[in-house]
Amino acid sequence: MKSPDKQAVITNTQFGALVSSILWPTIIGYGGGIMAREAGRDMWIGGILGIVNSLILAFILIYVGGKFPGKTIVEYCPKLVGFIPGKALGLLLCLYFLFGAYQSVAIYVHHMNDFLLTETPFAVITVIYVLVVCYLVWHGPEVIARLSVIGIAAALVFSFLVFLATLQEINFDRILPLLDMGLAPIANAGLTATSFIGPNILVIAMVLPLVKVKEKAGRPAAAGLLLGGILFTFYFIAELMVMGPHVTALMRVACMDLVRSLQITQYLHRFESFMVTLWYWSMLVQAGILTYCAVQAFQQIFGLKKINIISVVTTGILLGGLTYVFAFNRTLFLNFLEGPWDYISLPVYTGIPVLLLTFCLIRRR
Amino acid sequence: MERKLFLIILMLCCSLFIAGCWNSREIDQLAFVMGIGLDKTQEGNIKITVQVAKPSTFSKSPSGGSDNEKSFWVASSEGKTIFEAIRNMATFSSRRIFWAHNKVIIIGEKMARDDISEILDFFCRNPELRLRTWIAVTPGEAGKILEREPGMEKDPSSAIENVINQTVWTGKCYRVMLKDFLEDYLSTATYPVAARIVSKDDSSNIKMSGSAVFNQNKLAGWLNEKETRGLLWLKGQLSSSIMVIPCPLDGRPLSIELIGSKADIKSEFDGQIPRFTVDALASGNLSEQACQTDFTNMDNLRKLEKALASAIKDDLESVTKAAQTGIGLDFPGYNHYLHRQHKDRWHELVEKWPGLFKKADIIIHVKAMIPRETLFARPLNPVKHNNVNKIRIEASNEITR
Repeated sequence: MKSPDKQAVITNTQFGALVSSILWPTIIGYGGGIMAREAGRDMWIGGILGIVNSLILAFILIYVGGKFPGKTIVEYCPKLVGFIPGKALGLLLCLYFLFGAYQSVAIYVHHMNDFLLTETPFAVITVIYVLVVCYLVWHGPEVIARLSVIGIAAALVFSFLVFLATLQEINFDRILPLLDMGLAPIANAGLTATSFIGPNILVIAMVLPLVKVKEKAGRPAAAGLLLGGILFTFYFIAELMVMGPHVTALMRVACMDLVRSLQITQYLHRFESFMVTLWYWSMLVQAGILTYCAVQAFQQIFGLKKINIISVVTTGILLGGLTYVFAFNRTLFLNFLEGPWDYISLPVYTGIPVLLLTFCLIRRR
Repeated sequence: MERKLFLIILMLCCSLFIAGCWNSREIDQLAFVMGIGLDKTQEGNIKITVQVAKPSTFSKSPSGGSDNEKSFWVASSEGKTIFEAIRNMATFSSRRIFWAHNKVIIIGEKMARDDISEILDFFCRNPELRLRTWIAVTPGEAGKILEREPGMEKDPSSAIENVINQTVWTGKCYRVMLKDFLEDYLSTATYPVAARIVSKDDSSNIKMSGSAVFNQNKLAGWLNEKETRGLLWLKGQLSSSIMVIPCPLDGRPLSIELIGSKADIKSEFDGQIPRFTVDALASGNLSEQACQTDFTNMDNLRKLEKALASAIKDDLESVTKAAQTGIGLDFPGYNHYLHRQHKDRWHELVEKWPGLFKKADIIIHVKAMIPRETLFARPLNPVKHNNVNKIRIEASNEITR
């Protein structure tokens, strides 16, 4: 059974929408609390560091990808670094995308299970969500990219509502003084921010061959990264100003606690479900594209061209299994994200682009 | 064909999941909690009192159902922990307790003096409850406040919520939401303050009057209305208030409505001792005057502005005195200014702050302006040429000269 997606083409606008809509949903989910624990009231500066870092990495990936037209990072890795190391890097990327997708699914399921559907079994939400993600993957990157346009539109409405609701609660004093704890905690928060958005940066190297006007892919990618970055940095500032750094640091899922703390005048309050609906589209796009990249990377390692049902189902089972086994225990999941994940993610999202750029320059491609 | 088959199978599978909902809660099976009271019993247990709305009485008529039927139901339950006390409610409540619409948490003095950490923990953890819930402390028993039948509203919690909202006009009570209280509670050097709610003995009404100051998890002391207004000044939360001051010329009372208030606080060090300079700027309207002084005379107006500035300074000094020598805690949040303006030095002395604060030199300057006398251009003075008024005007003009 072959995927309905024959020759996927993503317009440059869709590419920009895709990049921005996958950048912000998970980092606001768990990243806010973790970064507040690391950098306190300066966590938002860590978010800006994350965007700057991501922009640099994205341009490296676009530059290197431009040397191999029509090929994904998994396909050109063996050509740059040698066959076996290239395949090993491809496998590493496949696992990284899979983990990114698992993280996205787990964060969504936690939001549902801990705040809105508290009595629905974790497994049921996981299975239904993974089914939807797999269905999306089956339709391929073009459909995901089209969905990302809805995703980013919903994200803008989301941010506008948060802006309206925070107006009466804004307390600038809560983000002052700047650089309160020095530069080291901010750098640490920046590392956390980049480790959250790292898998999403590498997505660029997987979907670049599908972009319609590849020579001009840098501009939508930069615009998408900036927009996505502004969305989550704005949300961090809102969390700090409305709840304060201590309450933000106290919370596991600080973004939902912010929504619990907001209302627009007296007439629109308790709108958590509505906000989750707006956030959901970006979340779905993110889980979908990361899963697609994991499936595609796996297939390209073995030279398979088209996405087939077995790969999708296998990845879906892995995704659901990982979520159920490792994310059911929220403490375990949080401790992993807060601790080892930064150090596992850093060598992949920074190391691989830098390594490929180095090889590219050495071999004068 | 394959695709259609797949879709049919998928839809059938999905239909298994939409046949019911684990989270379904029928509205007629829920008890909507509008207010919570928390007290400590003699045995050391926690007594939780909930005021539950009766939706049927709300829908009958605009005035709130039939005359004899109360619009709310008050129930109490005890337990070793808050959660146990709540679960114990299920033993007699015919409906499931639903917290999402709770408006206010009232803590009894005994409970507040004992430990409030469990209250904060429970209500912040609970995803049903909102962090916008108001927090208030009562000198008596919290449960009793929720039993009072309000004069205007259908239920006590709505009345309390409305009264709390109205406190912006009086400036006599420090209102605080759960999220802001929690932020101060978790802060390194600021001490949380909550609203003080009292029941008026002569009627069924409640009154928001003053504030309750906490030292970490325990109630440390109360602030009266004057001190509370000073606190609101320092926290930048005084949006409006009425200052009743004696006329500087004949001593009769005047009402000035504050329409603008701002306090700039600057910090510096005198050796090891911090020094704060509070520059407060107020503007107000002359809303009522019992005296016949002509305040269109600029000299008289200047005197009135000085009197207003003096009254405001008195408020600010009273709360600073309460913080430094009375309760002995930096609940006004002077440490924020030191932190913001001298952050490196602050990190060195944060541990010593409780002791240093008591020694801190706090200088208060107030400037007041009265740009408007509302609608009048002259004092209300009858044309009948009443001798008393004449004498008063002459006297005031004499003093001005």
